[in-house]
Amino acid sequence: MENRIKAAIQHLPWAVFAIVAVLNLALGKFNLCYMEQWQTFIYDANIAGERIAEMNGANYLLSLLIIQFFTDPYLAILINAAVLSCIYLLQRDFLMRISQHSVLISNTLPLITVGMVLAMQYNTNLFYTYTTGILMASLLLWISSLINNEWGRLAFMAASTPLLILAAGPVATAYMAIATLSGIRAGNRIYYLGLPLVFLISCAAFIHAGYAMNLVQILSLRQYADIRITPSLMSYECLIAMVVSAFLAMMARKWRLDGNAWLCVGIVAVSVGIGFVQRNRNNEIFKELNYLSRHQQYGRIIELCAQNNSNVLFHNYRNMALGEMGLLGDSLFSYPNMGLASIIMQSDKSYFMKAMYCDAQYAMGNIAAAQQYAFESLQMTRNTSPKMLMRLAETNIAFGELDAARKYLHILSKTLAYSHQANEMISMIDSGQIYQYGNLAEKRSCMPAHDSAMGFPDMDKILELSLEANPANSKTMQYLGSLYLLEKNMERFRQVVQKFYGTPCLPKLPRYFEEAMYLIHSGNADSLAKYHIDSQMEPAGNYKKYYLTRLAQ
Amino acid sequence: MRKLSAAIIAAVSAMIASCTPTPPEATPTGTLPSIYPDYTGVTMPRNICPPNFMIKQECDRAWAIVSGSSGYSFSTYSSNGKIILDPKSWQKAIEESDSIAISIITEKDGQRAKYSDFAIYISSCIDPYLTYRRIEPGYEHYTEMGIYQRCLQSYDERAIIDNSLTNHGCMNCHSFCKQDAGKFLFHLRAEYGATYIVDHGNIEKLNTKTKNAISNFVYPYWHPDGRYVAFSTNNTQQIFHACDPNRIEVFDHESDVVVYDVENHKALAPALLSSKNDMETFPTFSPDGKTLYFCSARNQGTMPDSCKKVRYNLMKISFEAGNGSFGGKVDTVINAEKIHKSISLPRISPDGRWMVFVMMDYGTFSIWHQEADLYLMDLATGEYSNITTINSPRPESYHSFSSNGEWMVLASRRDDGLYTRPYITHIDENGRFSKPFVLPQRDPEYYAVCLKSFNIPELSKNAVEISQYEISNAAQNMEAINVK
Repeated sequence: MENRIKAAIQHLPWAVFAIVAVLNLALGKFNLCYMEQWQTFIYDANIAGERIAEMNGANYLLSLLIIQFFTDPYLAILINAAVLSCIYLLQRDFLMRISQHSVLISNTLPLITVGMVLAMQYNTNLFYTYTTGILMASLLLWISSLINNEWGRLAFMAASTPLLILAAGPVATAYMAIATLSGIRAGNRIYYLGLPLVFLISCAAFIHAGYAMNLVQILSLRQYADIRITPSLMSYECLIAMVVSAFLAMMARKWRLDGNAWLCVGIVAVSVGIGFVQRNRNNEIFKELNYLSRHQQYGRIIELCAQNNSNVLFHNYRNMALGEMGLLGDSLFSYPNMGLASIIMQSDKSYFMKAMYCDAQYAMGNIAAAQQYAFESLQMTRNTSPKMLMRLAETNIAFGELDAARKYLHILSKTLAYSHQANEMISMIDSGQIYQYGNLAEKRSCMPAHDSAMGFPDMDKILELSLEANPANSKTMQYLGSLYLLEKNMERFRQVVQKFYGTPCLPKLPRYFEEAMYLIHSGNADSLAKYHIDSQMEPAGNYKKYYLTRLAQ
Repeated sequence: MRKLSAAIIAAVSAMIASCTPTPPEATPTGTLPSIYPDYTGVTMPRNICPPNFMIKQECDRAWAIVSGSSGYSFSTYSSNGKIILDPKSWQKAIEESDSIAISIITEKDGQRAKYSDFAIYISSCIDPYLTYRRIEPGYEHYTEMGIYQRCLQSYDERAIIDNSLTNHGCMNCHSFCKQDAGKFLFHLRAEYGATYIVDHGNIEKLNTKTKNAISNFVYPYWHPDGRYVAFSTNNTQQIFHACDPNRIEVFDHESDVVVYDVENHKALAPALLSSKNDMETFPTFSPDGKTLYFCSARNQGTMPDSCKKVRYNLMKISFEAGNGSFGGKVDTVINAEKIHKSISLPRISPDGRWMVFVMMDYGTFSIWHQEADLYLMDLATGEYSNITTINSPRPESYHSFSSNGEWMVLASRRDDGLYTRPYITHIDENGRFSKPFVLPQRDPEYYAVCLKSFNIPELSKNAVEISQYEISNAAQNMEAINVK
């Protein structure tokens, strides 16, 4: 049995690669793609130079270098599998040395770390810096294992500890702990205090130099997350697992762990299990919806959302897809809705909700609001979100602010994935043909003729101004009518229909507009005739049902 | 780390410079080169770092020949259109010259073109440090910001305080006492919210919300003797425009002016500066400290509906520093409302001769007003006019004088209408301003990729002595003194 396991273990690195890829596919293949829209690498010495001078800056840049390839879900999965396989190989070789070549245990223990990193990629809103930080720590541990001279290794670890604190932040704690344990195990007493002291002195020096406000900030995994998120204690489990794995490897001979094949099988099973643990499956569906929305696959969005009505976010995606397809008036109440929030949720402080709000506003033609939220989302992602940079370029073009648009496009032209599109748009700006690009002419036509103060409660006012400026904008008209129907504001609905009926934006009433007008003018044959509504019609009643249900609440 | 990267770049630049090919012969075009940033025909101080620039014309290679009027010249070569001037050679060229001529030769597909020389005029030295807050030209939320100090003689920049050291709270309104960086103040908001006054290494943390005040202290201006600071207190809000080129409107519901007594930790709030019917803001002391200028508008009622009706006049009141007393009446210096304009940010040259202020169509927060321009007033005659040489069709706003009064830095959005950049201009004894130039950066492409604004550019004679650590430590651990 043991020999068979040892033979099988030869292929473990490939198995790790394959299992990570399969787990990525099974858990949610759009997760890595989702990361990419918030962050990408910008090939500019000014931007990179500013980042690298910060604590965790080198790690952040490394994560961006990898993330820039995550535009395609399958390519992203392959790259991620390769990165996690690297972590596995580096840790395996390190454990092999400190476990005095306990083959079984050294091959299986790193799987726990890999499983936990994979789980964290899905569950805690941490950026990819968490993964690359562990990659960097693993690389340094591996390099240290190549140094045979004990004092040479000590010198390397003492030098690399502050370097890692600066380059990758809190992962240095686990690195220092493992290095200390391995030194003690090797019988070098200087390790008892040596490395912890180097660690603490380095932290104090960095605090004095202005790299961090206090020790908590250096140790906190917050460095790997959006600053508004405080990572849960669970996020630290991977760092703890690394240290425990190293400790077990050191004790492998003494405790005869290596001979216990069942222990190793158990470790493998636990690792795969950890990787497979999903704490919130819903997130993955939203990431898929986000991906589909980015690629304008609106039919698929409607299909997916039809199966899920548990959350207004599903309603938002579905209604945005209906809006983009010009079907809002005909299909809005064919599905469940929960008031105005089903079309647009008021944004919270997270960058992804701001982006969602921005998308909805852009779809309905409220360009200034879309710009505002694109801007806020961008700055919360440290100005590296390609999606928001592009949206800012689009909204500025819609505004006619071409110099500002050119600036965002210039930055996008310094990325790997978006340079072609950005350069094409810049040359179209230069040649005065930019409004022939995509739907920019349509968005430009949404600009209201008169200014108004803008806010969530004033959304309808802006859309009405937009329609006054461009009465051919039927999408905006459908949004405006739908907002009133969702709010049950029948009087305002009647007024806007009366105002725009017969104009190019509302040549005839869509299904649910007709139902609502029937409700308003029921029994008034003249009014119904004015809108070409059959006075004998018995509407299917979806809007009536919604109207009454909401009233009952 | 920054110094290390600067050293590496300097070493690489020196290596490149040492293998610079000699500028070749080329056909004259008879036109000026198009460069970014635009340094053609500007006046620069003798102690400024090299104004590196990019050639906008497409080229495979380029040469720049820099010739000082003193006779010293040097050349530099570029394979990417970015002209990076050697700092030592630049210093040699300008140290005894009144002007510099720069000649550009480009090569594209084997064809060489020589552009007409452009001049940079050299004048007196400027205060060697410029402090600004760098932040996205924000909406409602912010992530990264900081107050930074840049040495104008080199490209070195250091953070006075970065908000990563204050739990990402907001910070604003840094202000030096007579361009002395040893004595300055700034506000932190949110978790460590307070006004911090730094006096040659000593930090004082102040809770400035007094019982009757509208808000904490906001816009500051030091009294020349350093004992008082005038502040406004404002109830401010911002709204967003649906289709106005100004994008954002920042306005006050109410505001007053107070004078803070640094020694007694006491706010002096005379009734004349805290009228219920008027909004007083942007206080500024005259260089002799005997007059307090400020802006004042009639409260027009419900905001934001009436925000386009709010117009600020320029006012003044006398002030006696000895006992902290004010004059018995407020005088109107400029009735801007009468000409349907609004004034903000009055600043007076150190010799007391000139006042520069912002004038716009309405409102108080000029950086979001495309029409906001700087105006110069001769305080001897009371005449004022638009400083056309330094204004652009886009916003010009916050400005500050150098300690010798010969230079002024201003915040302008002329590049793209959205991101504020610090521009420097020279003023002669007759109040004539030179064409302004943007603060030079090591990489001339810097502003094209920088998504942050440079707010409140303030010149100073010396560097801030205190470290980020000391400020962060005070923010976290120091008890705030309650202002009376």
